[in-house]
Amino acid sequence: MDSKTILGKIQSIVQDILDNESLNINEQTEATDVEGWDSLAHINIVSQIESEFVVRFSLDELARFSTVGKIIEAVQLKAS
Amino acid sequence: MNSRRFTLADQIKFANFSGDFNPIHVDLVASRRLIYGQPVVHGVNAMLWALACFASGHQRPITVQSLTCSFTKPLLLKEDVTVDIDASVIYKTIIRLRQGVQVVTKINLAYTLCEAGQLEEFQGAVTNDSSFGTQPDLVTEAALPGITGEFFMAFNTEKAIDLYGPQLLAVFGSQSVAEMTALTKVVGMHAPGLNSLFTDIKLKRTTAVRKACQLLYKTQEYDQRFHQLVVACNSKNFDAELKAFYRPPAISQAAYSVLKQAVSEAEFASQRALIIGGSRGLGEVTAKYLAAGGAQVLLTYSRGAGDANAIVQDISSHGGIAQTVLFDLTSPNQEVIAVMDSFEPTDIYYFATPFIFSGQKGIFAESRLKQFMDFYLLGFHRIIDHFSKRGVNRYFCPSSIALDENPAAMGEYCVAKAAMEAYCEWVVKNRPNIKIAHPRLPRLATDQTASIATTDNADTALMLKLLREFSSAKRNL
Repeated sequence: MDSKTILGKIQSIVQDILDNESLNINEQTEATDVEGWDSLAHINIVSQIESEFVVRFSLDELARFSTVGKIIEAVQLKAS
Repeated sequence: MNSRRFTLADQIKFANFSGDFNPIHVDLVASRRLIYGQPVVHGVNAMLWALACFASGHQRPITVQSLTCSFTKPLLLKEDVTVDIDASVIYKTIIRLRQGVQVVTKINLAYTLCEAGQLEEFQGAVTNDSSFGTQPDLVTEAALPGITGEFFMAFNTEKAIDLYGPQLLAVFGSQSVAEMTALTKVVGMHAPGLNSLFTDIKLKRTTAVRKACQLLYKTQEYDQRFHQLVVACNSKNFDAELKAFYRPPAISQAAYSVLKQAVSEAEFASQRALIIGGSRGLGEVTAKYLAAGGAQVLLTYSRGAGDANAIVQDISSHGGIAQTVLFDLTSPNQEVIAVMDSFEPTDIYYFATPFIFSGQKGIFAESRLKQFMDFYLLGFHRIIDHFSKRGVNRYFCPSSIALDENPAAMGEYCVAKAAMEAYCEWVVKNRPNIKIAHPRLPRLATDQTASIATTDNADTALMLKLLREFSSAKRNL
């Protein structure tokens, strides 16, 4: 799956969980840049991403999710 | 009806109505050591109030087909909460509860209309204030995957009307309200019980034939990475999926006998140490280290009498010298100050702090700044002003490495700590006989840094190094 498609799906998930339909994210976006993306929201976002792409991340992989781009890379690696 | 403040009295009333007596909702003293540092509103209480607001504008009875509810932020007591109802799609309503601009609860309700005669009334036992056990189950993390249980629901119509008005029952029917109410008891008392933090409800109407008052619950999944539990619940009309975190228990500091092993017997023997805010966390660790090194310790507390007395007992039973006194920094009592004066302290350690909660990213709130300034600057200034006139010249007042990072949601905290540092330097500059240590501490493992997410907190043993540095600097003056 290409990164643009994954980004689109992640954006929908983040919009839904943060209850913000106009939110735009990109590969450089960090959680700290986004209002409401706190530790609880992060867990919900990750859980939803795992469910959407039918993958499961280890704690080591989760620790590397510093940007949305890193999440996309991890999804590509796992889903391939 | 579309705005209100929840109080502790409301919480206790809801606990007696629902049977959820989890201390994070009803215990002022215990909750100060838990993740939010104060009691938070039961999510289901907030949800039912939101549904009552919806019902107040809805004349026809309804049958709930599905409901999802996310408790996205803690709902705090004594702060305004507003409800916003979006009914733009027929038979599908979105309800949001907000504190300030933050959405704290979001409900998606899907329903069909029904006739008043079709509303199902609860036929089970009627509760009173002594119907429920008040001690939540203490479940170990290892036992979470295997939780299973059941109970018979009970309900009190008068209490429901007292809490939410008559329209909630008139629109939803008491059977549905009883089934939704019981969900808080499942999480708060049983699964995971004491160490729980309820975050999500998903319920769907079922066509299965079940007993009217019975509720069954069972662990569906436990995700150890996030300490997140999913509980399946079955009642007469609903299949529910509940999500909750296994909340971090209150952080306990090492026992005096353990800390004593790292301390030389008389290394702090010259000190009569007054520890402001010594009933837990760094104040507690400091009291134990100093007493272990031969200091005489007077530690103050504001709400945690039980915690403070336990520390004194721990120290005293192993030969240390410690006593405790109630001291509320925000309204100082002259008799208490006289007790502290008569102790004749040589060194003062200042750990008084409000709960250090994050604010909103990019928002600088005057009320939060004032709260932090009252403790870190004005409170400390009053202590120095009072005790320096009585010859006390040595003060220890920790700052934080948060100042180096200045996180987006902690501006008020950092500004107050920076002001405190500047004040310390000003005092030392103008009164060279006064020594103040204000080291910037990393995140240490205390109640203040407890988090759902796994965090990397430094060991409080760091305090011993700092206390030694302070003590030896004192002697070199």
